[in-house]
This record gives sequence, C-alpha cells and structure tokens, in this order.
Amino acid sequence: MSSKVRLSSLLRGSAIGLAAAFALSSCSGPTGTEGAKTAAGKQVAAVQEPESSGAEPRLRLITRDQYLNTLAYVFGADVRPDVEFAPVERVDGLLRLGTSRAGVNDTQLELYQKTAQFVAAQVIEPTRRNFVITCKPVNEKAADAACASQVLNRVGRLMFRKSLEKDKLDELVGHANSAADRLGDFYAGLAVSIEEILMSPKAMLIAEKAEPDPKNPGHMRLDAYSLASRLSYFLWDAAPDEALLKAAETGEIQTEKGRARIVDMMIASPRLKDGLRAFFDDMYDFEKMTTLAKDALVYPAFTGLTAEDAREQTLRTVTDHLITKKGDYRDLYTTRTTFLSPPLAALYQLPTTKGWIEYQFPESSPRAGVLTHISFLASHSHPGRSSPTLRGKALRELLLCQPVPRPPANVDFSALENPKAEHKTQRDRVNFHLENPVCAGCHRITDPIGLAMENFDGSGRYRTSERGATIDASGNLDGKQYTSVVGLATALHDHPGLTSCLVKRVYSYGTGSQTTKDDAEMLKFLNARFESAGYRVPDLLRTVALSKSFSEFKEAAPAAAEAKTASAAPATH
Amino acid sequence: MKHIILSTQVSAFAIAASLALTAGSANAQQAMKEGALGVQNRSIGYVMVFENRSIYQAKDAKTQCPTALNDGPPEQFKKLYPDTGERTVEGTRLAWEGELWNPSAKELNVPYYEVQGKVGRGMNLDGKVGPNDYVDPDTGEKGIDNQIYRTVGCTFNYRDGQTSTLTPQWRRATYNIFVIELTNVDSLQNDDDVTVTTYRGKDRLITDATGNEYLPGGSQTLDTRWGKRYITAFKGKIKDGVLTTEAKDLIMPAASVYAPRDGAPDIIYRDMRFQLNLTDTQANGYMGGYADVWTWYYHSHKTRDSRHQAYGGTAGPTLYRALMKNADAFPDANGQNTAISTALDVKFVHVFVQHPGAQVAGMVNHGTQSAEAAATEARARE
Repeated sequence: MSSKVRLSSLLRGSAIGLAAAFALSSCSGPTGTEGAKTAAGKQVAAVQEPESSGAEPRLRLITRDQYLNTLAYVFGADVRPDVEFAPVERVDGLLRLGTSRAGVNDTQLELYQKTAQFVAAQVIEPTRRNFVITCKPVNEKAADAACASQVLNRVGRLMFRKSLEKDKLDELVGHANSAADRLGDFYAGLAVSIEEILMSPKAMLIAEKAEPDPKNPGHMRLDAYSLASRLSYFLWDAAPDEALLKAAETGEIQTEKGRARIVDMMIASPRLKDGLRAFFDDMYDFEKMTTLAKDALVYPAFTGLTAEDAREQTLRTVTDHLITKKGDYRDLYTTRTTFLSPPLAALYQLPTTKGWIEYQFPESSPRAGVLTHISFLASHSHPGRSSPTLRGKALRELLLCQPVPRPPANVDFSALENPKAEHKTQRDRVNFHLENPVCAGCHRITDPIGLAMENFDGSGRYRTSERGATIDASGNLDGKQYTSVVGLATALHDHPGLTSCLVKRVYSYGTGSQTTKDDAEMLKFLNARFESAGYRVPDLLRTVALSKSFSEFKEAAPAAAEAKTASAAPATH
Repeated sequence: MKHIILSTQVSAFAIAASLALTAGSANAQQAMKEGALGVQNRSIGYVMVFENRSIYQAKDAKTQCPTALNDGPPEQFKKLYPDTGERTVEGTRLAWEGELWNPSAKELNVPYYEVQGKVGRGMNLDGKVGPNDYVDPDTGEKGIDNQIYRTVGCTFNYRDGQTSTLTPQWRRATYNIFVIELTNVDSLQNDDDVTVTTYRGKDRLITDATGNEYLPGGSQTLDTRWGKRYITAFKGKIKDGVLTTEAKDLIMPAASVYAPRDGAPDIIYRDMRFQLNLTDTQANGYMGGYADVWTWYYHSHKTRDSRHQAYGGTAGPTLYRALMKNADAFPDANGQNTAISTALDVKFVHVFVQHPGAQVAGMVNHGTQSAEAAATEARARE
C-alpha cells in the first residue's frame, strides 16, 4: 500500500434530521433514576445521567492484544503468533486513544500479512483443523465450496465483527476453491482465504458506524454491530463473540433491557479479566516494561524476566483485588496482598516456590499497594539510580490525571549528573531543584511524592540507606504529610483525584474519545455513581457501558463527517 | 585406609532429620522480613553454584608435568594400534571400545603422565601426613589427600579453564541442583553443633542480568521423593565462620549437561565432608572425600562425547589404570583400593529452602492452587 491511511477522521452514518433535544429526564433504567445494585450487593442511590454530547464513532486500528485475544477465541488459545505491532501515540494518558490517530505503512502491512499467513497455516495443521474446521471436505485434494463456505462464514463473521455479505462470502469461497484446485489441497486453499480475512482492513480496523436514534430524534447512536464491538473491546479487549453478534443481529443490544443483560453477562464472564488487564496495562503505561533495562552492574538482580514478571504481578494484583475480591479501587494502593514469582521473589529477597503464589506482606513491611510494586518503582527510575522526580511525575500523571510540564529546554542537569560528594542521598541531590526557581515550580509537585519512595532503589529493592546515609522518606501529597511510603499510599488512597482520574480514564477508554469540558457533567455523574458503588470498578464499567453517552451522541455540523487518505491529506505525525 | 560398607540408601538419621525439618517449616507461615537472607528459624540454606576439582596449577606447568600433558584418544589409539599393515575392526576399534568401557588389568604400552612435586590443594582427609600427601601452597598445611589431582593434573581436560565437566554450567542443569540446609544454627560465626543436610533441588537458579553470576535470595524446593538418595545429614560445627562436618558417604546428582537423559550415573563419594566459609549470602570452600573409582571414571566418559575427550586429552584406558593405581582407600576383598582421595572447590549462594508440603512463609493459601497446580502453571509459562 503506497499511501498511508489516516484514521483520525470520524465516521458517521446518515442523519435523518435534527430535532429538539431529547429530554433525558424521561429516561429510566440501569443508569437512570431507578438506581441499581452494585457488584457488592449495595443499592446505589439513584442519580440521573446528565445530558452530554456523547462519544462519536471512531475508526481505530486494532491493537496487538485485541487481535491476539480475538484469535484465541476464534481459533483456540494455542494459536498465538509471537508478534509485536507498531506502537501508537499515547493521547491524554491512554494508548487506546492513540489507535484512532495511527497510521498503517507498508512495513506494518507486511507484518500483518506474515502474521495472517502464520495463523492460517496453524489453523489448517492436522492437529488443529478439527477445532476450527467443523466440516469434512468430500475430497481433501480438491475444492469443496460447501465446507469452505461454512468455515469462512464463521471465521469472517467473528473477525469482521458482523455477518458477511453474500458477495463477500462468495468471493472468499471462490478464492479458496481456486487455490484448492490449483494446489490439490482443500485445506491449503482454505488457508488462502483465512489469511485474506485475517489481514483484511475489516479485521485490522475497527470502524464504528452510526445511525439515527429512532427514539431520540436529532440524536445518533452506534449501530448494533458497532455497539457490540465497542462493548466487547471495552470489557474484554477482544472482538464480539457469538452471543454478542447474535444480540446485534436480533437488535436486542439496542434495547435497554437487552443491553443490560449483555453487559451483565460480559461483566460476569472470566473474559472481563482480559479487559481489565488491558485497561490497567494502558493506564499504568506498562508498555515501557517491554523495553525496561537496568544497569547490570548496579542492579544485577533485575533482568528482563524481572520486568516481565513485575508487570504481571501488578496486573494479577489488580484483577484479583478488583474482580475476584470485588475490592474498593482505592485499596489497590494500600493492599499488602500481591503475587510473587521466583524472579520477583529473588529481587524482593523473599522465599517462594514454583509458579505464581498469592503473597501477603506483613503489617511491618514497607510494601503496601501498587506504588511499592517493582513495576512502578523500576519503570519510573533511571537505569542506574532511582528518581524521585520520575516517580512523583508518574503518580501525578498516571494516577491523578495531573499533567506535569516538561522541563525547560535550557535546564542545567549538571547538579544531578555530577552531584557533590556531600550529597549522599537523592533527597540531597534533588533539593537542588527547589533552590533553582526555574525548576522549583514543577519539582515542588513531584519530588515530595517521589522522595517517599526512596526506600526503594532503582530496581525496586528495599533499602534503608544510600551511600551510608539514612534515607528520609517523609513528604507530603497536596498538603497531607507522611513519613514513609506507606503514609504516601494512605494519602493517595484518600486523595479525591485518585478516583476521579480513574473515572475519566475508564470513560475515555470505553468510548475511545478524549474527554472535553463538555463531558464535565457526565464525569461528575460517573464519579457520584462510582462513590455510591463503594468504588467497585466492575460497577463503574457497568455504568459506563450502559450510559447513553457510551453509545449515543448529538450530531454535530456535517463538516466533520468525512474520511481522508494520505494522498489527499498527509498524516501529520 | 577406610573400611566402610557403601550404602546408596539414605540413612535413617537423614530421613528423620528431613521429616523433622519439614514439620518445623510448616509452622513458619508468617511472612518473612524482606531481604533477611541470614539465619531464619535457626536454619539457612545454600545452593551450589560452582564446583570444580581442586587441581593446583603452578605458574609454570612444566614444574608439575615436566614431560608433557597426556595424549588424547586419537594419539593413544595410534600408539596402541599402529598401522602395521592389515588391521581388523575387532583388533582396533572394538578393542578400544572394550578397553574404554570394560578396562582390563593388562599393561598398556603407552605413557601416562602424573603430577610431579609435593604441592597440592585439598583437605587432609585421614588426619595423617603420608608419603604421597601434598602441602597446601597457600596455608602450608601438610597431609593433603588428593590423589585425583596426582592422576589427572597433567591431563588438559582437568586443568583450569578447560573442558572439565565440573564447570559452572554443571550445576545450572536442573537435575544437578545441589542444596545444603544448615539447621540447629545459633550463629554463623561459632556454633559447636549444627546439622548439614544435603538435597537435590528442583528449581532453576537465579542469575543476574548477564546470566553468568548466581544471586543469593532465590528459592529451592527440595526433591524428597525421587531424590532420597541425595539426602544425607552431617553433624558439624562452626568456628570463626568456618563450617566443618563429619565425614559420611554422599551421592551427588550428576546428569550430563549435554545429554541429561543419557544414563549418566550419580557420583558416589565415600567419607565426604565439608569445609566452608559461611556468610549470610555465601558459603565457599572445600568438599573432600574419596571418589568411588568406577562411578567416577564411568561418569567422566558417559557425560562427555569423543570430541571433548579428544580436545581434552582424556584417554579412558590409561586414565582408568592410573585411577586404580593411585586409589588410596576402601580396599575390596582382594586388597585393591576402590576409592581415590579428592577435593572439590565449591561455592554456594544463599537460598530459601522449601520443603515439600510446607507452605511458603507469607503465602496466602485459598486452597485453590495446589503446589502441583502452581508447578503446572510454571511449566506452561516455560
């Protein structure tokens, strides 16, 4: 493909016409005035969903994990190509938002093609074909249109996230038959068309479409298939399964009751873990863990395996706490329960056994919550030393949604890079920031937080001193004083920004849209619901998934509704 | 000379000690303090990360091996079966194989070079100073018993840095993980009554980011089911940070690094004992005893292919005869000694010892994932 397709344009369905704004006060239902029960069984107070501009349809590039999770559902978990897709831009704290700004170049297309080829070859292997290929050809050495049609219809439907049109199915079957006859092998012919499906733009791009909302004149809504996809990528990080597609086909998903049934089914599914893992992996900026490296001389115990397991430790802790234990989101930052693997235990210098174990740090331990996980501590440090600034910045930006300005271009780092001998600890060294008015403005909001984590070195290992000097881990978070990282964890737990940031991220992630000031009332509503639900994340997911703004939007001026290609408008990034 | 009947079965004492330790560990479920690598609950574990035969290397090899280093199989084969015209397979290749795997007692008309001089490293195993004993080059200690050094010290394969099977890689192989657990420990500096129990471990060693250095702080699950024969308990004492133990027979796991399922035998040591400098994170020093000649010889050929024998100058027929000539303990009914004195340079690093069935300290047990399930998951990840 010589041109680069730009995905930032919005797709819209045709509008029937504008009408007066729909009176949301007449709404009722799972997110409306009737209230609902939370995952913990608590009755949530009735709060009205406010009117909002809603989230418009998007055209997004599928992510690696979404692709792999879908392949696992369609072909089985053992069909898992070892592949990395090109990184996308992080937008407003989420990679997910960047997928609608991504481009596809020739190299990526080649990667998609190779991946599709690999998967197709795996699918027709004699040991696997009985799982996916549910029919037997009359003759394995020749084309069999009936059997090919049956298989390709199922695979195409799941990969394209909607039923195949007859013309498209006929085309795929024709290709399979032609290849089978030429190769003298039904399965080899089938692989050609499976490969075609797997690398099709219909599979690799998630194109949401809108239609006029028959119940709300002047409003648009996602069509049934688009809504199924949005829900599925939000909650499962995968394409819709058979049940969702069926609900889309029958129109059940567009009914209030039907949508509630489906969302409840999805939240009760074990696949919710995949969705939640994907969300927190994105929100915690864990993509950097794949390339995280430490100076082997300074931190010999930190290896590539440590980084991989550190990421897994936190994600396991998140899903265990939020889903299995139905815990309060805020407690994620103070809980002493986590998981250990042998490479991690060696860094923690704690006993363990094979595989992963659930582990409880004692009350006397300096470890409490995600801030004290190796994933957070190591990924927000330098290769050879810790960094109070990076850690403080990460806490502000990732967990409180408070962007920290970049350092000025002419900043002098020499005081940090070549510290004075008497500056033994990081506190001594970063105090330089506060003496310099150019630096002090920003560092006042990062360093006091990060210094509380100085009892952990750049690899995340616990320490009480640095170069012979006892570490002072005191500080404050927006006026709340503490003397250790456990105190910081408690301050973060009680910080109002912690939950409101999660709400903002979840809403953005689910709708695929960056929040604006127009979403203020909606976020306020979601925050109130989240609080009423005892800060249970599955309840928040449910509220977002059932909200009108998740699937409906007001039609804007028609000028925005067009798609562009690079030949017409070159990509800007 | 020693006259002890070799038993490959673990002693009743060792079993009892093992069971007692298991029971004790099972009660210690409270999470441990992070980074506490020293003695915990009066015990500490170490895993072997380095093992090599104590072969003293003089600065100039000619002082030890004035004539030459020994021939390898190709050179020796030519000397034993010279091309004098018509040769048969039976008289050459099969004859060589026969001498290799079923060595006879007949004299071979080929030279074999042993170490010359009186300097050598190791331990004084019998408490005596004999005519064949060595003097330690560093401490001046006399009476060093190390006849394996005499036997292989002029063979390229066994000299430092060469292709000896006893290399760091040796103990990295999962089957050969060798763990010692010190129990009844009051202090790593001075304690006149401790117990050292040996085990085969089942977990991978933890290395640093380079993959070359082993790190303290890992964990090892003990193989008390199939590895019973490797369990031996030694009484010992610690003085000024140095652990010494009584002498007992010991079997060490010794699968080939290159072909672990190729039927390599264990190595059997008679009257083995430890002499280790202890810290919270390391235990380094000697293990010394008498290697059973046949298993030692058989193992050395079973675990290396002909390439390593050829490159390393290790010709089996003459090696076996030299081992039998220099064997200095445990005579058979005919008066032929069956074991030969040796010492091993060993290094251990701290490891948390996990007895089967004992819960990991700090582990939350919901009863949902058994150790077996955890192991299955671990295998799946690998």
